[in-house]
Amino acid sequence: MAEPGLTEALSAALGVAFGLLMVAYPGVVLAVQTAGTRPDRQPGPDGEAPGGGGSMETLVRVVGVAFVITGLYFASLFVL
Amino acid sequence: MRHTGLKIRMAVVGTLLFAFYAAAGLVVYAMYGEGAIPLVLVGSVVLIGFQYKVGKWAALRSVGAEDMPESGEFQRIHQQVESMSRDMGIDKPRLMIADMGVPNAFAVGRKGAGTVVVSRELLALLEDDEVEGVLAHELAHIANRDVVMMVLGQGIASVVGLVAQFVVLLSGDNDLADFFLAIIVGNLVQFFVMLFVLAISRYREYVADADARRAIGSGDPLARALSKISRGAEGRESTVDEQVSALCIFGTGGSFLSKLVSTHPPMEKRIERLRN
Repeated sequence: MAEPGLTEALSAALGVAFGLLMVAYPGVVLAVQTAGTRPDRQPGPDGEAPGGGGSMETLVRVVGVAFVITGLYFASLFVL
Repeated sequence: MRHTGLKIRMAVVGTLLFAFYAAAGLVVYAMYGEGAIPLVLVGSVVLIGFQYKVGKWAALRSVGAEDMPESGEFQRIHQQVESMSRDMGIDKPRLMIADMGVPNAFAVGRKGAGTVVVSRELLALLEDDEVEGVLAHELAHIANRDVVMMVLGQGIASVVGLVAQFVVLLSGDNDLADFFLAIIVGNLVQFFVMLFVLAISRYREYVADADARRAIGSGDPLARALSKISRGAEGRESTVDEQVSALCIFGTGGSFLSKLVSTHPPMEKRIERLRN
């Protein structure tokens, strides 16, 4: 296999960072993806993005975990 | 001049969005020549049209919205909406009602083909003048084309994100790392563009509040309604489907990031502005 380069380094860093964001703040990711197309979404009293559980947030978290794992795989190419 | 602040902000954000879109177009042009430009233009229109249609359908379907009868207990609401619509210079929108489990209202569609949905919980919670304030706010969204603007902004963000995704994908060796990086970059670029769209959306809420105050002659009914809605939704469980439950109920905490991507400003600030 070829030596890992910039693409692998970016994949590792951005993959882990974005994955963690999805796991920690699934409501934020949903808010960005559905703004304008889901006007039934209502923010909280402080103006924060809607959240509070549900299957969509679980799905976002699962995808986030997959991103983190994939990012760690690319990071491992630099140490193994 | 009406809504000068909004017009200035829209000019700035509109220019930025156009710049993002033009940059995406230029990248496609540089990679594939002028033959690909019509594809980008047609693709953009199809994507935005699809988002508009599907968004409207999904929002109404997800809350199980039904047409609001024009007689009986809802007659007064129809009369209020007809009168306010006339004052705002728009066609009376279709009125619908839904069981959402929380006090809620939203508008979908555009001028001439708008729909306003209110929840039964909202009607049970609010006094007549407060309901009128909420309806005036939703009518203002239709009159100001807020729904269309949001869909347009979301569409541009999607197109720019897609172009970024394909640039990364096609400029690499087509291996797993390129594919993965393309997905991440596409999402991050869309996220960045959406920050501008969401910032203008929050300002448009203030404008809709101001228009509602003008339409009903006072900001107090809407301020009271917002206060009640805020308290009424706290700690209550939505009875609508799981997806909407996740979307409608009041969140906890409210991090900086969460506020940054919200479509609405803080309720407290809206109430304060309405009362001043």
